[in-house]
Amino acid sequence: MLFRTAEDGTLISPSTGARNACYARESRKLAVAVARQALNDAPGFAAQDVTHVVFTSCTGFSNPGPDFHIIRELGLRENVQRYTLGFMGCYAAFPSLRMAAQFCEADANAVVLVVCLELCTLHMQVNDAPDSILANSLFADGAAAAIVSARVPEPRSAAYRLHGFESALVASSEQEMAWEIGDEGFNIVLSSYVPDIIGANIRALLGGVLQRQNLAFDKIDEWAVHPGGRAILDKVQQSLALKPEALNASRSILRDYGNMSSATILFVLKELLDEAESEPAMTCAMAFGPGLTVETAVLERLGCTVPSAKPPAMQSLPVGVTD
Amino acid sequence: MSAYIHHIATRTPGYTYSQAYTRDRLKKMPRPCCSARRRTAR
Repeated sequence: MLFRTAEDGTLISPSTGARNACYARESRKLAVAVARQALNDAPGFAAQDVTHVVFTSCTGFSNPGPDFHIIRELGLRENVQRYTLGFMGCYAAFPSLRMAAQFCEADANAVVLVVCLELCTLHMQVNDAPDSILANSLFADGAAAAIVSARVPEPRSAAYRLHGFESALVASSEQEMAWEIGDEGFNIVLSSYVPDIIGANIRALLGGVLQRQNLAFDKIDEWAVHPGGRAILDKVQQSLALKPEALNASRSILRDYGNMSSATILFVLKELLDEAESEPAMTCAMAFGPGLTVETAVLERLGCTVPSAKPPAMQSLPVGVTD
Repeated sequence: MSAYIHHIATRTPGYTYSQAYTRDRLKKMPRPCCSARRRTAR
């Protein structure tokens, strides 16, 4: 049990070291489980096929870390190339997928296992400040794993073709969001203006991205927006003049799971895959983080799929309790 | 770019303590003031 109650009923705030020790223990189990699930469920891929592992997290550090344990416990080849993208924040799935795509471009036989794992609630702040309450309410724990390769998927299989990625920095917004290491957990700096800033800039940023992909705005069929919070989704919907149902997948993931930082956008993309009908669809995905950084990707959802089981929604057990 | 996401798996650890903690705290607290210009949390 990481968070303990004192005799007077108040909650004792653990040190960063204690929180990170919990991260090292729990992230290993979760990373191995989600990677195993991805390999078991991906048709035509076996553990020995994996050539690269890209592990992404901003909520803890350990070495040998989850990437190492994935290789050992799943029986991947020991010469698998390992990469860790650390401390980037909610948008980090995009550089992970971009790196995977670049590996596949360089080597047609590359099979990249991308794992995004976040245990945000380890950094819960024990105080009654409104900002702490907001963050404690919003952030959650979760992991996602994606299998990326240059192999052409079987007809009618559920998959995305990666068309392109783009990074952008919003001018004069460096102070609005940050992620820092404190003595009692990691601390987020989150200005209340972030949704407004994103809303004011997203259309222009996206216009450039789509232009470089030779895509018109009205050719985007589906939207996968990182649900950093309800206000962010509302602002993006308003700025892009999207129909309310356009962000159903993002709102559904926020409602059912919370903001799981870098893992969240993969939950959204999976939700769109699971609910896909037969027609392919151009999909625009985006996420935001410290900087302010805006990461976008254009993907083409291929074919249809058989819905898979969702992980359980939030439950109320203490951090540190093993499942 | 000729790369594909062939499969996405998702998983949660089965606990999310902070939400339950916060709900419990909110029940006991007066309505919070949200006028702060800068939000520093967690």
